[in-house]
Amino acid sequence: MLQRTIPLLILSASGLVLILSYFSPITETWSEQVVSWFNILAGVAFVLGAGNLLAVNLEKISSKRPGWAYAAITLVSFGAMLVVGLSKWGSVPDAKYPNVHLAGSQDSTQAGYGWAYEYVLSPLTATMFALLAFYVASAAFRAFRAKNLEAILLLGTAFIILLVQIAAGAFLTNWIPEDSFFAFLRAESLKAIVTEVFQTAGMRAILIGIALGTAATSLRLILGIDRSALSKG
Amino acid sequence: MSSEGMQQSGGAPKSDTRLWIALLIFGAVGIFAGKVWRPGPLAEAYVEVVTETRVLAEAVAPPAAQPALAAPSGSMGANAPLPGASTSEDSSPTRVWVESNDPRFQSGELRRVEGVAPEVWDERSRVDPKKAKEQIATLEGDAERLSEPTDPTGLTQEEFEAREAARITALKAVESTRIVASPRDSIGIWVAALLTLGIFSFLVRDNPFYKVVESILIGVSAAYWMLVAFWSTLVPDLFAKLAPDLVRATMLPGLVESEHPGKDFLLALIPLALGVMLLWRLAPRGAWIAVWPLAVVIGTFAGMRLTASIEADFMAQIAATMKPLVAFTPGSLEGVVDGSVSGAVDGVSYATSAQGFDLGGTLAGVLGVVGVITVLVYFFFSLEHKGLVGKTARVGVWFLMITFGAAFGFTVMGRITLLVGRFDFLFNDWLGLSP
Repeated sequence: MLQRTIPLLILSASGLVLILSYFSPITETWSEQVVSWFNILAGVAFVLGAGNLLAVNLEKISSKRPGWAYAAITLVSFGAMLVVGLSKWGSVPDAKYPNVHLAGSQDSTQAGYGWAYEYVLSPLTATMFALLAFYVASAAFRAFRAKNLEAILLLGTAFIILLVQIAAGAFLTNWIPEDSFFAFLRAESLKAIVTEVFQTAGMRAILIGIALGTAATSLRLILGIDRSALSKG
Repeated sequence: MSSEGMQQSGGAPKSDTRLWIALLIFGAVGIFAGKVWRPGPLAEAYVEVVTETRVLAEAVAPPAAQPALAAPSGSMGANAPLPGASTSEDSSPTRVWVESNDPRFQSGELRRVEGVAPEVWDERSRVDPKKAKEQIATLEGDAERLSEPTDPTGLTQEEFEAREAARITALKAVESTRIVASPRDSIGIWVAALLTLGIFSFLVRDNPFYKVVESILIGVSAAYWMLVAFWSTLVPDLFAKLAPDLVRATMLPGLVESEHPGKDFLLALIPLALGVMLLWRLAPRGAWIAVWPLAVVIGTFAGMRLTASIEADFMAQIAATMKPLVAFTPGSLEGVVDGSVSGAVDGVSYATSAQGFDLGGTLAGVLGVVGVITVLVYFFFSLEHKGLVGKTARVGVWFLMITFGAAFGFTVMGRITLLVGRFDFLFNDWLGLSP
């Protein structure tokens, strides 16, 4: 009862309130309230994640498992960021309330939090994603083979998109007169044809499929047909 | 720190000689090139410092005339009325922090609150090093020029006084603008550069330098998202309802007083209880308690997505597809001749010339509809892909391949743009190699 039935009822009630509010303005305030709780719980989920990070890394350090030093570095950086962010260390006072320290802004590099974001988190995430450029190119070189029509279409489109976005694309096709029959072969026209005609059509069909899948899954959850989401305590 | 502590369970290689040599060579060449090419310190950073001063003031007018606190037109936002800080019932006037030279002091609308020290702080904003040096030179030149007293020769007393006043005002403005080197930001650039190199070192192989940087990323990232949730959601949506006076006094002084504080408090107890239940997952026993808040999260998300996906994705995409298949070029307002179209829309009359057939637009429209239908047929697995269905699905696959090819191209370009950004940072911001 406590572990299965009540959670299912809570799930169904939360979902139904949201659906009803779409059709009836009477339940609109209910849905706003539920969404507000959802946002708060999403915020608490981040705290839960941080707690889990602490637990996992502390266990790794205490048991001196291989790589425990990295766990210590993770905890130190986590703690340092948390302290400067919660204390708003070095924050710029709010012009309206300069006497309330915690009302200040910590977006600029003047504040410890802003400094850590600008010089630690931002370059690290950007570089991590930039690193993928090498691996995507490497994987494409190894895996892509123009063996059949489908592969040729994929490769050809990728080549066109990559070419038309750099100066070489314009350089190679700018000699084609804009008012000629072959103007569609100019770099900007090729890009427009690929993205606005073919890619749009493909993405529309994919989005329609995703929407149907999302709606079906949501209904299964709300009606209690799919109970797998609540199966693990 | 023991070597075991720096090893992963998978067993990282002990020697990364090649990696370190490569990094050392890269660093040495970069620093040498920077020194030769463009002499000057590495990781130069400058900031413009603006000193802000606020004093506590209160309205001279009685509470009934509180509009006196409204900001004068064209004044800064800092002088705006104080939200949520309405006059209290003991008729004490509203107090606001304003600039020390607020014109309302002169007009007598405001007076300073005695015994409260002014709040003074510096606001620093990054300035491009090249522009900063130019600005510093200009400011120094201006200060030198303006420090010379006005030559009174040939001037009347009024003209002399006016020029002197203007000179002193300009001199004060120049002196109040400070562009200074910022060691804090220079250290930041160094840190960012080393961290960037740490991530790039993974290109050679997995190594301790990369693992240290990766650990920093995990720790800082987890704390960042927790802080975002704390300041943007938990404080205003939860704590402000549970303890509004405390939150107003310490974190959100602009918090508007609720019309139903008791109801808000009781309603906030529900997410508080659910939040505690969610955190119970960390406890060694009774993890099932966390299923209740999870049910709220899943149910709410399912409800939101159900309506949103049907309306914004399903219906909107179908509506966008249902366009006229035959396209015409837009008519011209000039040269309206026979066959022209005329009428009125919202009371505004119009007349356009005959429209022409648009081959490109028609082909695009037809291909768009064919693409959507054939891809949908491909995704329809209830029918076996044979015969007409199979051929249609095959055309759908061609559209999908073009779609994926374009997505791949854009993804690669996005990553390369990020890569260029990182190299730009290393070579220009850190090594200062830009000419």
